[in-house]
Amino acid sequence: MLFNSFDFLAFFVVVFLTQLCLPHRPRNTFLLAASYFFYGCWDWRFLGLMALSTVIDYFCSHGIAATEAPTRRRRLLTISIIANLTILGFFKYAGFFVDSWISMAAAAGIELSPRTWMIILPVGISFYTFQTMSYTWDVYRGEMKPLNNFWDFALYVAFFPQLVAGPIERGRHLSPQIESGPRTTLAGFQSGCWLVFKGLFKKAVIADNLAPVVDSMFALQDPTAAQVLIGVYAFAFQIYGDFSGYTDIARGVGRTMGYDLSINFRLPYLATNPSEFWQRWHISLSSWLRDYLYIPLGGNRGGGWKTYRNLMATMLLGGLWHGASWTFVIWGAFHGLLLIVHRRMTRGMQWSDLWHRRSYPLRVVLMFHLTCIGWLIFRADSFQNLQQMTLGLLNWAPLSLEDWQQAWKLTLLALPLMLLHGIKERNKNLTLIPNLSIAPRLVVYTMMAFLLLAIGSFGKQEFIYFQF
Amino acid sequence: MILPQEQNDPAARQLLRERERRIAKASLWMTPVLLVLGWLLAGRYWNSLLFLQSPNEFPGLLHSRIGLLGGIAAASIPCVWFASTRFSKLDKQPAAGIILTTIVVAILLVGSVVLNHPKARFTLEEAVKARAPQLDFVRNIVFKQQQLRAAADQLPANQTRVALIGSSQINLGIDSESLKTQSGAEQVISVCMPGMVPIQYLALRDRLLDQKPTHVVCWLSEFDFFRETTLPTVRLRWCSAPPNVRQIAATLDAEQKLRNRSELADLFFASRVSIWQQRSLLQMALFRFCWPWDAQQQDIDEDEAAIGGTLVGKDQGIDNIRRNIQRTPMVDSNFAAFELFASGFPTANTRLIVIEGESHPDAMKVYAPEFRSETRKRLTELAAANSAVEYITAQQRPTFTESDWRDAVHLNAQGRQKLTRFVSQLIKTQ
Repeated sequence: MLFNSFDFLAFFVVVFLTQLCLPHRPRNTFLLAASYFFYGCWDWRFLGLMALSTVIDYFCSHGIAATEAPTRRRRLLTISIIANLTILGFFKYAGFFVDSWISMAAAAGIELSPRTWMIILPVGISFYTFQTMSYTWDVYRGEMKPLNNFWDFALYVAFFPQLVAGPIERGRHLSPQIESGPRTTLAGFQSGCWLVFKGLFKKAVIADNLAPVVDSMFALQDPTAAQVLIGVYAFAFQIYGDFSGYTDIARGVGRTMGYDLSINFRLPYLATNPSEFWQRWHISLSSWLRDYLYIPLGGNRGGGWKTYRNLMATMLLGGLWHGASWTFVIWGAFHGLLLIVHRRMTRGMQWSDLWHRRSYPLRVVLMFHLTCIGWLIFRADSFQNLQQMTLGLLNWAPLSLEDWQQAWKLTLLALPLMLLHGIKERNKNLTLIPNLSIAPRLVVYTMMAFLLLAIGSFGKQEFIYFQF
Repeated sequence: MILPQEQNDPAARQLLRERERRIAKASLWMTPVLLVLGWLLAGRYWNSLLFLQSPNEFPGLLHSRIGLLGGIAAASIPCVWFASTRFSKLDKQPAAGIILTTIVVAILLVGSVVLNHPKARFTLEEAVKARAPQLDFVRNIVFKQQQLRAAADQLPANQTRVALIGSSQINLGIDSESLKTQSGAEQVISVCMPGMVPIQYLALRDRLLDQKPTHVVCWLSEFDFFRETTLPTVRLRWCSAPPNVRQIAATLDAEQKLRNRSELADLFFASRVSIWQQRSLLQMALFRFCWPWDAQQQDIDEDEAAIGGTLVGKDQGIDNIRRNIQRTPMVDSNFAAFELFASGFPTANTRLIVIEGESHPDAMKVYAPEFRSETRKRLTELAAANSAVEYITAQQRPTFTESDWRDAVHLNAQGRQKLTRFVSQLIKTQ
């Protein structure tokens, strides 16, 4: 059930109206049932897997909270982590590692019989596994108390707006809300609807209209430099529109029911360096990796080389989190390298304010293009595809009529978005349009609604991050 | 580094409004410049923007009404903006968002009504014609819309009027001009579109009968009935209207209704909101700009050739048949739709001539024999039950040999001549 489908609209209307009429506890139970129904619409067979993860983490977190003995606490945390990683590892990575092993053996001249079994990847498994793991970890660290009620915890794991593609919520942020049962307010309903509308626009208008451009460019056997650039730029905006659109809808749906979900994007293409990029892109994952991987590995406490090692390890695993493919690992390594180079170059340097201001556009453009190189690696279907696209950058040829059409489409969809981002950045406020006066607000709302009706794509294209 | 935050509190709003007011106030000084600029730009480029034609010449700009309108619109922007920064009553309303949403919905509904106006529709269609390559599906939609509107205006009385309905098989299989000459018909209307399936016949029935044809000819085989897994919304959306959406829904059983719920909702919405109904056209008008205007004819030919390249040859066509022609969940709906389509003919006093279709002899080997016999049986039963329907089986019409086909499913010039002659005779003798 896609967020941009009539099915979800009907589902949400029923859920929203019903939850309005219910008191706190029955409301939580109802939301849990709705969340399981929502997930079951993808594939009911994996409901058990989510329930298993829920049961394990509920008992582990309670066990940890109930004892002061460090050994027992550590043991329970280990059980939780191993159980979650086993589930994730089997469903997401088993096939990948077996295939890689067979390929490596073949390269060494050893014939192994190819894998005959296929593992279906349960949608959203990476998101809810990370969410439950961080919950138990936070209880272990003493940063929060576990939820007493099992059904509340089950709702924390399965809460439908953010179940399949995040934001990856922290226990200390979402669980108090579930426990207290926030109610729908008129202000929350209105700002939630705006978020849903905005998210729908980003997904259905921007991302889904750029998808054919990206697909056609990445499918070319012998692309020209212009085609590679159009394809990569288009993908940069497609993935942003798709993922931040999903997050906006998730947050909006949550907000209409009184829940506040974490922010996941802060104008990422206006980042001026790699470190800032990760504070603006998929924030819930990057902060998760920072808090539960980078810092436990030692963070920047062990001096230069150890910091670089930790950065690289974190980004490699971050890349692998996105999917079982070597291109994701390379993408992670590329970002790890960017972070290391940036850290090395800026260590001990003091830039004057004037230089900072003057070089700002240059730094934004440079970082955007570095990000795009990353997207090229990320989007490539295979090494061969990556090689074709990279070599294409050296193949300069005039733009064909079809290329002009694609470039026009990209400009039409991406330029207004970037202009809006520029204004938001200047005002340091992400809530720009709802704060404007009535005339520009009306113009923007009407234009958005018109474009949504006229060119929006509904229920056709899945969200990119569902595959992760 | 300060990262932007979500700020929706009154202080943040006040700050933003203050900045907005300053910019709006400053832009008031730009009003005369915007008037001139808007006038010049709109006057010079409206033709280019809408119909991709070369920019208008400078001498005529001063007399351009569209230019003047553009200038006034541009000049009024700062004034309206500045006025709106002084108007904050709405923000004090707790339900400001809901009020604004209602206004937006009202504007869109008005927009939808405007789009239904013949002038607006014609402008959109011409804008699409300028953009759509020869073989693009949207181009077909535009031509059919215009054709159905125009033909309704100029109907000759008491004459033979023939309408052809169906897919590209009949469109390429009958030469309308020759048919008109040979049969002595006053008018031949072709309501054919690539890939048209019987459900679309039903959607077009009322508009077709509005043309008051004396004969409607179609060419049907298992190729038409045994495909489509869901309701083809892109094909049906442009011609959806409240009655035909109800009829289409009636052809589906309960399970199919449930399975096609999104498609039905889509069609229902399209039948009421013309922005949604015309979205294929709007999309084409927005996205397909042949910048630069001085694109060489060769570029355009190449562009069209690239799309033409997607036309399938015989082998590919046979492969497609193998893949697509099967007992899909929509088979019964297709038959039910055709039955419903035919049910309107007796009262309209129109003959429906159904010719049993076929494909290239090699392609015929790919079809399951039971599909052919089932199609024949159902159409024979229909002809027996409906006095307006005449079913011409393969034995009653000319046979087509290998040399009559241009690919797996379409007749070539020789085959077209044969079929056209046969249909002409049929109409003449009636």
